[in-house]
Order: sequence, then C-alpha cells, then structure tokens
Amino acid sequence: MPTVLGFEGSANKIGVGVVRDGAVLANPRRTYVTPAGTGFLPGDTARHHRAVVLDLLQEALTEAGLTSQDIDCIAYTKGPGMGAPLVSVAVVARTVAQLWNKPLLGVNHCIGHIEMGRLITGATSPTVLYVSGGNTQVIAYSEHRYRIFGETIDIAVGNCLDRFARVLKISNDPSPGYNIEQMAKRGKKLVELPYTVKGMDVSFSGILSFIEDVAQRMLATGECTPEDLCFSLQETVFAMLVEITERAMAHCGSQEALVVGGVGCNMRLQEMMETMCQERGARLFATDERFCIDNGAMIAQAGWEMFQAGHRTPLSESGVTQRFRTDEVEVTWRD
Amino acid sequence: MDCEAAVRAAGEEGAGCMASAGGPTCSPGGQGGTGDLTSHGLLNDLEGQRGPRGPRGPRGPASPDTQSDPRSPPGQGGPGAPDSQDGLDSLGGPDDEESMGAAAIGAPTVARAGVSGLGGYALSGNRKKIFKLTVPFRCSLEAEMARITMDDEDECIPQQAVQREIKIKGPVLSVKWIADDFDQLRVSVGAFLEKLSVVMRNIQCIWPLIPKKVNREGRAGMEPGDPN
Repeated sequence: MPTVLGFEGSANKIGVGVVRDGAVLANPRRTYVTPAGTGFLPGDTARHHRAVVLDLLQEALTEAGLTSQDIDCIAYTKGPGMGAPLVSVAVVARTVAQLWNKPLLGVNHCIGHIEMGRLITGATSPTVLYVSGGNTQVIAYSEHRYRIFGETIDIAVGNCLDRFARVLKISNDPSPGYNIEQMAKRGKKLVELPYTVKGMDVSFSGILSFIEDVAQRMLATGECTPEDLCFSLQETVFAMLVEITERAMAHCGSQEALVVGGVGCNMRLQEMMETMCQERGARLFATDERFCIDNGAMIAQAGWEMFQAGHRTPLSESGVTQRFRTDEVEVTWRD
Repeated sequence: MDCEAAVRAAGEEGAGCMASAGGPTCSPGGQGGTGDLTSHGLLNDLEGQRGPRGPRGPRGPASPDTQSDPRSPPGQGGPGAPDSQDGLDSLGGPDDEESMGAAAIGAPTVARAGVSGLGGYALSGNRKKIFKLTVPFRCSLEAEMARITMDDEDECIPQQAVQREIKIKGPVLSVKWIADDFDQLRVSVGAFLEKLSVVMRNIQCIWPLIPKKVNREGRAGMEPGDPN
C-alpha cells in the first residue's frame, strides 16, 4: 500500500497531495491571485509558492494523519510549466526526499491531470481533452504513450480567456475563467468571432487579437455588453475544442471522452461536450474543481502509478523542464 | 520577504531558525530539526583580503562597477557584527582576480575577523567576472544535501553564459560563478540565494511530524517531533 506525497506548482496554484492506493488522503492548495487587469509573473509566483509550501506540507500530513515515515515516495511536477515556480517546488521536493530518505519521482503535469481524471471518474480508455491556462491538447492512449492527437498551435484556451479577462479588468479571484463563465451566463447576444480549427489543431491567438481589438469599440458604442463578449468568446472557443475532440474520437473509435484541466471545470464546456458525446453514443467524464484545477493529489496519483511500475528519478536528474511533452513519458503502468 | 531580507533578518534574530521568507517560522522548540544554528551561522563573514575598510575609495580603471550585488545579503546586522557595514571593501583592488565572499548572518559566536559582504569582482573588457560564496553548514551531511538540491541546471540562464561550480569540503559548501556579463552573474547569484534560503528553511523545519495525541478538547494537532 504505497503512499505518495505529491508537490504541484507549475503555475499559480501550489498544492501538496497525499494518495494511497487510489484514495486521496489530503489535497490542500493555495492560489496566487493578482489584481484585476494583471497576470501572474514567474518570479512573484515562485515567491508565493516558497512562502506557503511548508505550511501546505504540514497541512497535508495533518489532514492525512500521517508522518514522514508513512510516506513511501515523493513526487513533484517536473514540467511543463513556468520555470521559476517549477524550480521552487522541485527544490522543496528534493530536500524533503533527502531529509526523509525517500525515492523521488518527477511527474509530467499533463499526465497528472489524466491519471487523476481516470481515477476519479473511472473512465477506462477515454479520449482526453486537456484544457487549462497553459495547455490545450487532445490526447489518447496508445502503445504505452499518451499520444497528442491535436493541440493548440499557439496559446492555450485558458490563456486566451485569462488575457481577455484582463482586457475587461475582470477579477482574477477565484480565477478569471470562472468569472468569465458567470458573466457569460448573462450574455444574450452572440458576436461573431474568428473560428480557427486547422485539422486536428486549434489556434486562439487570432480570436484573442480580434476580441481585444473590437471589445473596447463595441462596448463604447453599446453594440454589446461585456457579458455578451464573454458568452461569444466561450461559445466560439469551446465549439472549436468540441470539434477537434470529436475528430479524435472518430479517428480512434473511442466511446469515452474525459475533460481535464482548469478550463474543464467550465460547465458550458461540459454541456457542449456532453451534447457531442450523446450524438455519438459516447460517454463524457469530468471532475469537479478539486481535481480539475491544478492540485498536488494529481501529481501524487501519477507518481503512485509510476512508483508501482518501478519508475524512479535519481536526484541527479531531478531538475525541471518547462517544455515537457505529454508523449515523452513511457506509460509502463498501462497495457 | 525576499532572500536578502531573510538572511539579514536571521542575522538580527540571532540564534534559532532562519527567518522564513514569508512562510512559517520554526517554533522555539523546533530548533532541534537541524540543531541550533547559533554556533555555526549559515553564512560566514567575508574576510576582506585587500582594500581599506570604511567607505570605498576610488576604484581603479579596471573595475568602476565592481559593486557587490545590491540584492545580495551584505552581512549586515546581527549581534557581534558591528563592523559589517563596509560590505563592499572586500572587493579589493584591481589586482584581484577574484575574491571569496559570503554574507554574515551575525551568529554571535562566529568570529568576524573581516569585512562582511558578498565578494565579487568585475573586470572590464572581455575578462570573465568571477564570484565566490561559501556557506558553512552544521555537518557535511547537510552540506551534501544542499549541494545535491542546488546543483541543477538553471534553465533561465544559458549555460555558456554563466558557469557555476559547487563543491563541498567537509561541512562547507563553496560556489563559484564565472560569467561574461554582470547582469547574468547577478541573476544567477540571486536565483541561487533564493533557492538556498528555501533549502535552509527546509532543513530547519522539515523533520518527522508526529501527530500530537488528541487533547482534552478532542482536537488533534501537529508538533515537530525529534529529528532523526
């Protein structure tokens, strides 16, 4: 019954989770929130993480009712993500691993999301739509790799939403995407925006540039409200995501779809995905904000799988990498 | 609290845990994790190798900008460190190729023979900029742990621009930077010090956490247990 402690801090959330045999024993998290109209910078984010990580570690152990002796392995996010926050957390994980004399495991952040999604929902072999502030990928498992079938060719969908929120000075608390979602519910008018799907891939930089350009003009002339813009942006980008996911499902003959990542919490996205799945006779799986949003338990869960499969990360190789592709990891824990 | 302030504050606090960079500080009873740092300090004073004490005199033509990193912990403050204000004098004159430097934390029992302040030396033209730092730990095991933790490639700085060498001799960690450019040197040293502050906090504060027995009110809590 191995117990794994996981550290996550690749973006503005820092979490420490404890997982044992498929059970999440603890999963505290903190979010670094910046003022409306601004984004989070790597140095400031890393400083935030350094300030709270030991508190979180203590909180996780307390919540799980465990001591260091009960932990069998330390997992941490090796990448992808922002450099300074990744390094801050990796330093802590390395020190803890040495102090407690436990093996260390560097985990791919995207795989953490996938493995947590599979654990929580029970999906067996889904086509995964991974959507967050830093990543947008359509992934399916094949021959010991999580293969990327489609992805953004520029910015992530969450990044598009977050940067649009800055234009409208929408609050970042609890997250800009959540606040856009709430405003979108009050939108009444669909503004036509650029729709950019390129085969299996998507592009969001064009729609962002467009909406940044027209937003002020349209709001000033009263052509639409901020709620209408939020609604229109969501409808457009989510439709793009549904299209490329459906294309991947058709390619793979998949009857399951799993949505993970922070943007996966969005109920409108889940609704649109559900409609598509129903039309195909497929099933949609999704988690709630505890596990959709970056968290330590997902790293612990992926680490648990890797630990059981015999993976280890020597200290000499326990760095971080900002560009860590999902398909770089050999998924030896699956057939 | 950034790294520099943390080191300075630790010097002002004297014994006990290093001031946390905004995070939890160790409880007084929790000093056992890595032991009392009083007699060791985390960073030694710089022994001025050359140059006058007191305000810096005019510089030679080779190093008009040979200022220590303004972000660096200057070793000021802390008990037993009244002379630590002239932190820049250790840079020496233009003949110095390099100088050893370390910031003082002001542990009372550490001999403060020389001027404190981070050492570093700038050479004009195409010559390399070299900076050295020594950090004494309580024991060689801690130093080795810190070395292993810190000895990772810094992705943010191109490796050919800044070379960094970390060595251990007993309980002392020595770091040497060689850079083409002051800015890259400063960034690399600053990043190292920030990480070092985290490592030191970890070593101090992370020991086996043993759940306290449920108290009379029926509430359980955590307290630091004895270190291994």
